[in-house]
Amino acid sequence: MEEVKLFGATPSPFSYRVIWALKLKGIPYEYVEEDLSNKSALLLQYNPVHKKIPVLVHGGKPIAESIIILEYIEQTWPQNPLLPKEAYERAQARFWTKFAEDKSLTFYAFFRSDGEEHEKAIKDALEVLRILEEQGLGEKKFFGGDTVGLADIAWGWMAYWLGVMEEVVGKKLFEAHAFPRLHEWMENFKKVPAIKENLPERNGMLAHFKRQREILIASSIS
Amino acid sequence: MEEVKLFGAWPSPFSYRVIWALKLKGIPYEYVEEDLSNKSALLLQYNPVHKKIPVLVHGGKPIAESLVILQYIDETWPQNPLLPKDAFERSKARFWAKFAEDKGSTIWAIFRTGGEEQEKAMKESLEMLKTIEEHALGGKKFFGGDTTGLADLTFGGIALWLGVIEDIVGVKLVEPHTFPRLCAWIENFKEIPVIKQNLPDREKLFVYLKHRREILLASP
Repeated sequence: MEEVKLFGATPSPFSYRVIWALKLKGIPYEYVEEDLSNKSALLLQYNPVHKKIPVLVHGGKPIAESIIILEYIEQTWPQNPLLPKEAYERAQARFWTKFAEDKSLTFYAFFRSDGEEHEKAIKDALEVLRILEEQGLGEKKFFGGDTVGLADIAWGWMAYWLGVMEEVVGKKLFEAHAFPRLHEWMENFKKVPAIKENLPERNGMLAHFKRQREILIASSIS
Repeated sequence: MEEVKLFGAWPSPFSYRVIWALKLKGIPYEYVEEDLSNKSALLLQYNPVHKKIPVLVHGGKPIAESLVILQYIDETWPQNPLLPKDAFERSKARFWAKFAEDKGSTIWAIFRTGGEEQEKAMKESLEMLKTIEEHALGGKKFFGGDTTGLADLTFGGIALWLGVIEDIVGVKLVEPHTFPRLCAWIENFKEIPVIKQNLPDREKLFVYLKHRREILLASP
């Protein structure tokens, strides 16, 4: 099998999406930690358009954008599939995955802003959670059904990163009693061994996000 | 074959992405024109999350989001494929389709705004177009290679809507001497019979969008 390398950065949830997919499928890979304040020449060469992590390099060929990497992994290593076989079910999985991609800005706004912008972000985020709760999961254990799939991985950040964000911001967005299905999904997601064994250390994450928020708030005041 | 219905709106490039895919594959379908100022109960039922067009309904089952629809179409009707077979080539096609999807809004921002905000949108749009010119096409005729693919359809808005926006706003973003590859692509894309025969009337689009812009700029 050709060499697999992942360029990532802890504690980026986008990075972890790819780690989870590789681990769920049992694909051996070499991990390269990038310092985002001092990006390597190799990263810039592998992702000249966006200059971002994660980038997967398979047999020397680079793939960028986390969800696109996931689709590549799914096609290349079909074991423990992340997408259902049936076209309509696949479309549903892709729909909820896209929803996660589109709404990440809303939660980022919750994290990086204050004042009026922050209030709007809270309102928007709660709407997203409501939609997920009522229309996304249905009665299923995971978005993928009985096992973790593409949409679960796309939303996976919520099971662990959201709590840290809330602590840093000092505001609770997600209440278990208001979103019981999502809450159960989060608990189930974190129990999956490939996920449980591959989560960033919480204290380090807390410190990192505290610093990030301080920088972001300060730069928005100027 | 089960019934195929497309809920769309004639001024929308997102709507046309799906029309082009269906036509390129020769899939018969019924088209339902939606009045976006007065959406049908059926549309709201079929796309409760976003309440938007396009929505494809196949055998009564709805699929929303144009790129999701395109991939569904490609998987359900494999003739005249929109995506290459090779996984790496496929990832590149998806990369540029995503780029078009994510960055396309900057061109609409030029249309919707004025003053400083518009200046910013112009700058961002030029940056996006430069990236496409330098990185996306390479020496190929289409993003998909010798034939159009997912990325071409996603960039399709540039083929007509960009020119109309340029005329309305009074700017020229894309010119043959600054964007030779992109201009060649636009010409080639519009020459494809399915595309050529399935574009909104330019005059009608101009009048419609001009009116929309006036309303947008007048509102606070």
